[in-house]
Amino acid sequence: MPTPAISLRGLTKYYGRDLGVADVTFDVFPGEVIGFLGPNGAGKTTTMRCLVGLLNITSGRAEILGQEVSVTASELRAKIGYLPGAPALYRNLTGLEHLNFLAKMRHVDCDEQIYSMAERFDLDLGRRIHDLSKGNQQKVAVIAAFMHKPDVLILDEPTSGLDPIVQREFSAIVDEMQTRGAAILLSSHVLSEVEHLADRVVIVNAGKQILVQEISRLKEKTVRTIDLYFGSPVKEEVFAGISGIKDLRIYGNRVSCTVVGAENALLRCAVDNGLESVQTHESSLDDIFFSLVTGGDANDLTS
Amino acid sequence: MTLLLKTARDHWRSYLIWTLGLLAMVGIQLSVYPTVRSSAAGLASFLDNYPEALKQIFRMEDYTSGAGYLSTELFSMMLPLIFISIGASWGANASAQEEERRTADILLTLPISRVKILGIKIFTAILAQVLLAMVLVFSLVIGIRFVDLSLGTSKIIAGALTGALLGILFNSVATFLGAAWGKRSIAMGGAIGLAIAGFLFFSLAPLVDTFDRITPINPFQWTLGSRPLFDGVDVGYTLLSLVVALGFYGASLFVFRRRDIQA
Repeated sequence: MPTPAISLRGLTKYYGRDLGVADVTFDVFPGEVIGFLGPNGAGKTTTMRCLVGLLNITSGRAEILGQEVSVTASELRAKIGYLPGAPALYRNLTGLEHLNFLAKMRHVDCDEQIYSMAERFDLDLGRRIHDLSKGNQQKVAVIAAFMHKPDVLILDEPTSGLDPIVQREFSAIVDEMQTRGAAILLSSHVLSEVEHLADRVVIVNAGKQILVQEISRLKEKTVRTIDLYFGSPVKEEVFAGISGIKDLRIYGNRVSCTVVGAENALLRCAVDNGLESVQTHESSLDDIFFSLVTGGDANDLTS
Repeated sequence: MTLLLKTARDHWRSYLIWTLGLLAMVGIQLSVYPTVRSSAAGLASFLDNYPEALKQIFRMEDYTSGAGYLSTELFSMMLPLIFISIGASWGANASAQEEERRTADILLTLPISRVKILGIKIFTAILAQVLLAMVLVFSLVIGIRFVDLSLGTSKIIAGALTGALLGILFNSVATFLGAAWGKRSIAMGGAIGLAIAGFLFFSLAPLVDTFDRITPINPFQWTLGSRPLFDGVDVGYTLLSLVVALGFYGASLFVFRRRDIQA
């Protein structure tokens, strides 16, 4: 088992008496992308701000690259790239001046990375930030997070405001960083993006962690709707005793049902009874996410 | 150096305007001085008829002398106002403006300690006050020659030093309030409010006996009250001012070092 690049154990943050986030526990390993999901106010940003040292942790422990995270652990931040959820840019500077300022403050030469990412994002670095659109401002912020090639990336809603073409380029850059071995924690409301980029997801709601799961396993365990088309009408008894089937309905030659887990037994039975075609409606991560945050049982998905 | 230059760049326009304002004020007041001097006898008898209270409030002392004239016209209110305005503004911007504009999210996640970041900003603000004091000294040393105003350079330096001390004192207050609360309005309002209250107490102290108790702790007494253009630098009051400013700066660094930075 490799050493986690990010390790959270019971991380809890209170703002006075108000709960920010409670008992968050998960690891992010080098070369892994974790999707951090939850509705507004769930505690995603609070968790991320604790990790980058903007907030004090009330209790629990957080480590990055084996070092304990705290607001005073400044040297550790050399290895972290952070993209805040809201634009945080020096608006009176040009994009290039802003990025050069941050690079100089880090004592790192980032020229190559800055120009290469700007070209990939089709970003004019010579314009003042207050003259840039929201999307272009977000591009500058993304470059600022990636330009020093950090070992750990903490990205809060990174594609907010980016158009689909730039989002694709962003995904490619995340893939490259992942290949380099960076550990990436990425929050998003664009759930399909997380589904595409992340290896695992952590779902939080109302300050509580409700699920940590590999995306592939999560989808395996989730409910799919299957429509089976036969050459002639079939009877309900044919499917009796097949586990994992729910809501079986027969409409003449078509049988519709929901399946939890592997559908091999169902398909074998259907083939034996004259199956002509199959249509599967896979649950997206969105369905799972909404099911969980609106009261679904996470144990159904983790068992 | 990078952060120092960035801080200077953030302020250079307003700083330039204040500096030009200061130079203009010095120029205008000096240009009037020959008229004041030539009408010294008339003015003296005119001022003798001023209500005593008014003379005490504006510290009008030997108005027709070089020291008295500059003390009344520049150093009693206008110059301190410039130094304090710059100080309070830079102090409020040091950390609170970064938080309000959310740029603290990137600045404080760089591999530099918060103490160092705020320390550099404090140093830059002190440097700005010293530079402004030097501009004031040079402009007066050169200007008084043209209008034949008699005042020693050491007295001019003492006067400029009291201005800079006031600026530094209220910069330290604004820096502390901004570091503790993260709100520019609290930092600026608090520092300026204290300055106004301090100035009122200082001005009215000669008339209201009960204000005597406040006088020893009033920064305006430590600076303007030491009559720098007449008596030169008051080492005790200067040290006291510096110690108080250092106390506020130390408290700023202490609270800012560990405080939550809100989104």
